[in-house]
Amino acid sequence: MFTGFIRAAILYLVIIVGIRLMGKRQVGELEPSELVLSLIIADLASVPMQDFGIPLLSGLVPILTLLALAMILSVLTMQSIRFRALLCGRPSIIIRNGKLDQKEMTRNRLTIDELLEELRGQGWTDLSAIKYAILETNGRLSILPYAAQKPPTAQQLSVAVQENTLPHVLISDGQILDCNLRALGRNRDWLQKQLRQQGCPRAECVFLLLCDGSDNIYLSRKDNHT
Amino acid sequence: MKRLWAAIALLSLILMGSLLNARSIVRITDSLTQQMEQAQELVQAGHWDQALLCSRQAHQLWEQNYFYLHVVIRHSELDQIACGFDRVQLALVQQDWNQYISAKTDLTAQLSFMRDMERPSLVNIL
Repeated sequence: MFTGFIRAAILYLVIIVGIRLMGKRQVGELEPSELVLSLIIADLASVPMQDFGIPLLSGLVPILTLLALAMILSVLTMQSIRFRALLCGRPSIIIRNGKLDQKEMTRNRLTIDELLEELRGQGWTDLSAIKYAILETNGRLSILPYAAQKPPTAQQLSVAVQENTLPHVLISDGQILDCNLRALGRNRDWLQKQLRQQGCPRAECVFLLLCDGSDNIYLSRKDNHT
Repeated sequence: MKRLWAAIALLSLILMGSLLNARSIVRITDSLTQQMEQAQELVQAGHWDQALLCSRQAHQLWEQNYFYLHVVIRHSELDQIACGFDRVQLALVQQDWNQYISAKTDLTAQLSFMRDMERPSLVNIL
């Protein structure tokens, strides 16, 4: 049992560090090569974790080899467009000027039901309103409607709007984040003043406090302190 | 670029480590097999006690490398070889030629399989 515990901890840490080094992609946005890597690593890790008759090293060596290879491939895809196309594939235009490209659908083995489901999921029911629908290399469908179907922007309407800055988290679950306070050019005295104005004198009572560069504040109290 | 070099360094390290491991396994199994052959020659010459001593030395060498072998070789194979040593030594103590030659042949065959399995060859890769 102890062996299993230690092995599981070691393999878990190695995989977490390895995957972390790979980059910040989310599971749903994996490229084909990354998906394959994840599946193989999961399988490789589970064998020495369960079977104590197999040396831990026989699980670790292939995992580290795969991670190193994946890292080399990811650097090469950054350097070469051709290599990137070879490894990750190219996006496919499924709808062009409102017309379905059936060849591309067949090539990508995308059924009409799957396409309609994806379109409905993104709020589109009228295919003629779509100028382009592109099947990305990570399997997601990007939809670009005709200009007439897009909502007008402030620029198109000639309306002057104030530019928002990125809000910083100043209090998270009762803890004051001093680094974000400093990034906004504020201090704890200012924060206390803001809290009093919001009717919440103690930081411990705050679940989330956001503030942007224009001092717009969003405050959410903890449920048990209301 | 730093990541690329780190990955290449890691791959090179793993490759070098696996080649060194194969070399070490060949060295250990070769010397064990050699000692077992020497013991058989002594048995054939009727020196059962000296053969037992030689066999014990081989077993000692096996024990010295046990931790390393445990890290790199399947544990079931190591257990079989450890049992093989016990069987050989028992036959030598009892001075039973038939039992000895059977146990010794099994043991050297297992050592040979272990060596061949770790060898960097096309047969193993395929």
